Amino acid sequence: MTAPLLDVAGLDVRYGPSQALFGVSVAVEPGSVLAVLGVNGAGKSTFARAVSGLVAPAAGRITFDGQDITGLPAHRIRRLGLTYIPEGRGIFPGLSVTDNLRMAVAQEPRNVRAAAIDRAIEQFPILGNRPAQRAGSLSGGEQQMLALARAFAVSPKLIIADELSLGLAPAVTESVFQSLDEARRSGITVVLSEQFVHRALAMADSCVILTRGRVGWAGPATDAGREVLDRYLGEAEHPRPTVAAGAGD
Amino acid sequence: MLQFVIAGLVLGGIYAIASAGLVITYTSSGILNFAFGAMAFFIARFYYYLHTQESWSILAAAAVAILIAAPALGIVLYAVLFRYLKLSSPLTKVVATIGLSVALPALATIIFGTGAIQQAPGLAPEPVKVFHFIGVPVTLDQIIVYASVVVIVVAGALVLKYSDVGLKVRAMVDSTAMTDLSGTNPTAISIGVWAVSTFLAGLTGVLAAPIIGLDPINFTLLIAASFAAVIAAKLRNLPVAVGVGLLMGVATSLIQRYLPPASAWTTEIIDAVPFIVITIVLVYNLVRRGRVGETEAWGGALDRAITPQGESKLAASTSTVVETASLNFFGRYAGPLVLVALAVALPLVLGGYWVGLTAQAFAFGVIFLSWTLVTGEGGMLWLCQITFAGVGALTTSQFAGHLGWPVLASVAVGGFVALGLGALIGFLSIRLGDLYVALVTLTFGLLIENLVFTLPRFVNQGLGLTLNRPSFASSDISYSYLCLVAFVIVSLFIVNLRRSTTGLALNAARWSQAGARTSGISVVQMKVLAGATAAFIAGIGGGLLAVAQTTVSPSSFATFAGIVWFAALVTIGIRSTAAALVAALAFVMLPAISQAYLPTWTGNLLPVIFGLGAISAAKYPDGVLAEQSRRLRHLLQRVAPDALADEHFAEEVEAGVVDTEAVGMAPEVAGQLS
Amino acid sequence: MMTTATDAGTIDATADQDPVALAADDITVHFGGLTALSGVSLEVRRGNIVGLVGPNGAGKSTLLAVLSGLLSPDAGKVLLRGDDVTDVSARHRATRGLARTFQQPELFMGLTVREHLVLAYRARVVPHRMWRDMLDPRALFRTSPGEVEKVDGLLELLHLTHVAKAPVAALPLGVIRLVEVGRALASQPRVLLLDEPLSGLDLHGSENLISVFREIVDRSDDGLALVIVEHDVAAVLALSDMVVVLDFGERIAVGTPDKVRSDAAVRAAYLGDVEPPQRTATGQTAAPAVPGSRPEVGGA
Repeated sequence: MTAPLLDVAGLDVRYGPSQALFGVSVAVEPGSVLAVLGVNGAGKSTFARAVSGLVAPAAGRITFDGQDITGLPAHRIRRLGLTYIPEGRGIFPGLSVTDNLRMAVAQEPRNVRAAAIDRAIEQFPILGNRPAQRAGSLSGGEQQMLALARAFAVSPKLIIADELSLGLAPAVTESVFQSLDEARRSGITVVLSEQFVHRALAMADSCVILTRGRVGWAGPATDAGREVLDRYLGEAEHPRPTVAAGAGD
Repeated sequence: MLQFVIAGLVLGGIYAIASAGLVITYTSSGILNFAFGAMAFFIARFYYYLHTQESWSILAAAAVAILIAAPALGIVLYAVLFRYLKLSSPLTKVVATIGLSVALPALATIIFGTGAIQQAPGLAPEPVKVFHFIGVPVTLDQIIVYASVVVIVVAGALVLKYSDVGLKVRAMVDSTAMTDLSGTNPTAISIGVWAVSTFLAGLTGVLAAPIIGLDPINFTLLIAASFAAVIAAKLRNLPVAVGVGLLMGVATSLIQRYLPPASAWTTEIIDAVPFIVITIVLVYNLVRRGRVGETEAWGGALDRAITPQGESKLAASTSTVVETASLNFFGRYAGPLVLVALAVALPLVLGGYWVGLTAQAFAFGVIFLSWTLVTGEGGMLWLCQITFAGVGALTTSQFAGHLGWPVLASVAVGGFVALGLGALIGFLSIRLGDLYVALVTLTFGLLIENLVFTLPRFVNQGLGLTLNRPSFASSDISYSYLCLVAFVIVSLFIVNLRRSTTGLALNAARWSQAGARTSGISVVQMKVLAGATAAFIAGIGGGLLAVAQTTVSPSSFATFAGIVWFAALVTIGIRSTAAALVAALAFVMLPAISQAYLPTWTGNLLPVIFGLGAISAAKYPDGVLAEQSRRLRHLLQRVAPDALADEHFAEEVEAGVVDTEAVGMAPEVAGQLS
Repeated sequence: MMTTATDAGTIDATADQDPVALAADDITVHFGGLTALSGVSLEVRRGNIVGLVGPNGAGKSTLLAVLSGLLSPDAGKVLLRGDDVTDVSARHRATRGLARTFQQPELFMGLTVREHLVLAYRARVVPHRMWRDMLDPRALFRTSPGEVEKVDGLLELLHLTHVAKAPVAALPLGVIRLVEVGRALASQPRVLLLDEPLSGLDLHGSENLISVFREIVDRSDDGLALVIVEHDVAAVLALSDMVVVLDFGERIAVGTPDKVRSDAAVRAAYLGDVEPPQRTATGQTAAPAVPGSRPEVGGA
């Protein structure tokens, strides 16, 4: 068993007086896809923000690629190869498409920037058609492709994608997920938080279900289906199984 | 015509540079820098010190002042102040920059020497060369202004549009959080932006000095005028800010051309140009959209999501509210009662000259109470309470002097005139948002100061107007007590208001607009009520002050002085009526003590202290008095644990905690799934 | 609801018998190019609890903002007991008996729990006191028996009596949600809109609050109706008389909880199946899914 690429242990997060995460522990193997599921308010976005350095954890330890990144600012974590695409489009809506891509590679050495941008546009040709357009005026799907292009341009080790499909039509969701799948095949580790549960589980290797800020269930993605249905719609027909009860395999 | 346009572009160019500086700080840090004028003055004074007092060459002095000292000032201020304001409420940010605007000019006077300087050289060597363009005489100083504007506009546009640094600045304006996520350190960008902004302030100062002299009050006026361009740009649009700034300068110049030059009316119109611009913009926005809206303008959704909103909103009062609730009767009222007893004893202990001062201090206390109401309770920043006081004072003099009314009745009339003005200003500005209230009240103060307070009828050849005290309280001692009674009555009124239905509704309007509206409470009505009532109190206080001094000179009600008053009150405490009394006594007595017993330079120390006090409000929002009395209480509680505590409250909290767990916050309960 | 007779003079006593308490008719809202709601209709009957559910971004909170008057729709009408209130401000809707809570609690940080309820009561029943009391030195102590009875009753009902005198700033989220509900109820509403009242609460807290909702509707003699927006679909299905499901700003299902639970479109919207799921119509999962071994991911 290889060392996990991302190892989160006992993570607590507070927003002012209220606590959003309670002792969350998650490990992600290199090259794998982890789905983080849960209803709205369960703490999925908070988890991603804490790991990417946007909010400081109140307790716990985050290790990325063998390095303790607990409490590091977001720009340092990004430079280590962890890219976070936040919920609601990871772009600068006020900047042009080109400027968005330029910002994405601004920390790379000068001589590789142009090539990185070209590569990203090659992957999403639609972005090459209107380099000067304000990103905020792109369609939802195009914005999400720009966000992905920004993420891929720097060849990250880990991408955390938060609610990629939010507000996208099914066909667009499909192509966005295809891009993410390609990234996975090229060796990038992915942490996926998603409301379209089956979509996410189809791609994921393992799955964590957050319930009110805690890890409610964790296990292989193939086992998650029924658990999820139960937690989302509260099937009255079943008694709620607990993880502890299912301990023996 | 052309020559007036060319001349107007000088003033317009200075407005444009200043507005550009204000807009870039606001868009990149969310801070509307009320201290911009003070920074400009500080750097201009430093340049004058190097060039004129120390005889440095123009080039060396300008390089050191504008290119080194100015950016350094910005970096230092970022390091010691602005970076801590990131999560503060807009109100706290404004108060901190207001504190700075009070402290910096006084600090400049202490460091570089005293004396207002009427004639200051610019960047052109003396005597200033005059050129002729198409028959229009243009001085070298003017040419330098044009060149600076062109260079800044062109260089700024190029850097912002094409360079990496410019890209990062634009990215940060769009979203700080996304910038951080893109691997760019937002702190480094912030420091750079502050350095550029103070550089622009320094340039503004040095360019403006030959035109307006080295007088902090004139600088405040200049920057207040630039605020008009900033408001027109909705605080964010750089090209609009620069354009409106230039246009305002040209408009001013053209008015000079087409109106009869000798008429006093013309000068008044010229002074009013910025206010006219603001009025047009505000009315236009009110009519078109109902509001201007500044809060949603800053940062993106992600930035808001990761900001602990609750905390920054609460900063002003939570700790005190919670702590006060834990006190019993003695703990709550012992302080104020002791204070009133001391105030009663004061006129008896002191003699002669000092008794007259206590009367003034108590009148000041009444004026300060208007802020206790509007800012402490209402959460609004009104910067023209001194103007209301001046209106009260002048109305009193008119009614008592010209019409022969009884003096106290005239004071009351003054209060009502101020009330009307307060209601009008409140109605115009409150629905636009907190920052606009501060901006509009500041500009309104300057307008009245320049249009009304300068009327010959009030100035009376610089002698002011005399007033007689009421016959039953003509001595200093008896008039002191009259003012003290007025102070106590207004204090009790505010204490009553606080916990009356009115106070509850005002509190609702302050803390949650959505919550208030959906509970059936009108936010605008409650806030206008608070603003108008506060204006009434300030008007009464101004009338009492005028009667205490027995003369009214309108020049003593300058808006800038009012900002110092405000800083003094914030330093001691904006929320308690007792703090208003202490602040008033300190504000009146300390300068007198310094004048009578201490070396002269200490006189300039007070504004510095008050300015720093207002800045520290970012950390201690309830002021020195609340902080010290809290410490005193803690000390007492250690000595006699039960003396101050409200037993009921202790039980309630205890019960509350038990109850809260029953209600659902117990962390263990949800653990059942794992 | 409960006793309002003593001093409810300003609330019209002729409670009309229109069976529909609140209705939205063909509401459409655009944000820039995005259509947040398109042609959504909703009917809330007196004494009913209506659940409003849907995936993230479906337009639930937008609909609540339109109903409460904080947002004007681009098209459509809002009817409060038969009256068209589309152009009536949020404040005036509140004075006509529409109350709401917020997902991010909107409390008044300087006030105690009890003061929240007192203020909401007075704003509805004796609104002139908001203006007059500042000049009345006895205002601090003036409470009417009706007010005391109402406020104390609500505090008791919500288990808030023990924290009544505590400033809300000191309270945890679970209690804060109760205070918002209490404030809304103190204004004696005919319709109460609840925006994610359970988020941030643990199971126990949720159950407690749900039983409170049931109780206030049952105890109301004025036909109080609730509209509840909630992500905890299970809780909503258990509580509601009627459920409306939104997805992409459109109403995709409406009906009784049982009907909605087995609706294929609803399951698709929640789980992202493009095709209706290959599960039996009763909603049972076909997979033999006992959760697997305790995973190496997470935990420990």
